[in-house]
Amino acid sequence: MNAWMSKVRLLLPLVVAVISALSLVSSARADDPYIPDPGAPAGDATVSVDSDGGGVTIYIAVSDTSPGSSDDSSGGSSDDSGGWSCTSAAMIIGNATRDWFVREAPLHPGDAPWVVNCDNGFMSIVWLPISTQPADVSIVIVPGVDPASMAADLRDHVPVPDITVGVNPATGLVAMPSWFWIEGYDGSAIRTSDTLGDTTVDVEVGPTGYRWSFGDGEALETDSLGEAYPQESDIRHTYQQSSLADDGAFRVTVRITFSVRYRVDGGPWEPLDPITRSFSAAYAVQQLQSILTGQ
Amino acid sequence: MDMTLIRRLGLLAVLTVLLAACNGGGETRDASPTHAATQTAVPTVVPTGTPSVEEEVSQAYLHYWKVYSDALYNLDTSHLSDVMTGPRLERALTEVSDLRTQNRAVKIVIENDPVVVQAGSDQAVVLDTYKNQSYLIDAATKQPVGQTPETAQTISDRVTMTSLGGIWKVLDTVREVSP
Repeated sequence: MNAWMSKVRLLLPLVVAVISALSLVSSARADDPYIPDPGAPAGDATVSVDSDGGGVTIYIAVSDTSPGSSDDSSGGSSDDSGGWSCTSAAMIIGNATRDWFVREAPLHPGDAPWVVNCDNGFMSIVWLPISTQPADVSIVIVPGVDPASMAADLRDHVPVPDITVGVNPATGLVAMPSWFWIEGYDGSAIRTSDTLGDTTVDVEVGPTGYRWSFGDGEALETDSLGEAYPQESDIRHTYQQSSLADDGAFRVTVRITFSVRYRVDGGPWEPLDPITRSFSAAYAVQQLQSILTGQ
Repeated sequence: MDMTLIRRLGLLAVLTVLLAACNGGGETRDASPTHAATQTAVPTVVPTGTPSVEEEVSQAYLHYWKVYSDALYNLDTSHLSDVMTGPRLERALTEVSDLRTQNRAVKIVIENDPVVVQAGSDQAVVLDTYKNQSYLIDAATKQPVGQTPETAQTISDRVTMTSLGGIWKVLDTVREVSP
């Protein structure tokens, strides 16, 4: 038993060192790659193929806001609305694409590459059954998601923390400074995401300013969250009258303005209209009165 | 390669040649393209030009990446206009300028997989789905800033190229798939 304990004592530091090293390795997180040409405009269409049944249908899901997108997926020409106009054709394999074809073909057994070519510049490769004839192919434009609308919806429902107004002293005194601060939020950016189909939209909001209204007609604009007591907050106000005439308490409100931006499928950030959120608390302020006693 | 695959490739090659022959070389665009919504595809062949044009485009596209990579590494824009023009050139100049401001450069690490899907006499389209593990480096020391990426991102670009004075240049890029 003693020999076993001795071995444990000898091995223990080694085990601890190994565990420490492993935790160090696992905590060394690699950075995300740099994205070349970060300002490249994002595409607004995705292609899918349905080759079940008799024919082949190529679906092109387009953003509602795509220039010339058609909201008619049931039939007819989109020429008159300047909509998407697309053709598809079997792809010609030239010298420069032969290696690509030889590499890709085994991944699509029984299929051949076709090119979808739209007159607005959109092009894509699809793999269709090798027996497909041009007459078998239909192209359907499907109005897809509108990333900007998704972003606006996300923005309007962004999960802003449950912020409360902190104040000291708990009951204010006339002519004595009260300190205010924001509780439940550290001022960091808030991000939310949603995915519809193949489109993922990230929305990020960040505070740009705080407007304090102290309920007695006075206000303060600041970019500070204030400091929770016992720290000295830089958001201070000195009341000149009690809150007796204001139903016993002033309504202290902080209105936070958030800048908003969004991106689609990890692309470049685009601005959205800012939003504001307000948070209030009732704050009683009393007037101290001296009482003279006849001693 | 098994015999089934060889037969399929052979059949496809025959089909491709026949389609090309039907189109008289594939340089003309169809006058009545298929429209949105359940219209039937017209039996046309996407013009891809002669193989030599296709190869020119492919080589020019890979050269574009080399020049662009060198520009981001050395923060030197002097050769960018040799391989790009228009909006793509504007973005690259801005990109290098931004990097200079941040005292950063970029080591481009990508694995291209370009496909020339259209190659006319003066305009071409390349679809490239590439693996990206590029990373920021210090502009002076060229050492990585932070950890280098462990895994590659997949990015798909639709690249429009134009021939100016017989030289193929990248005109613009649309990011079809972002990481």
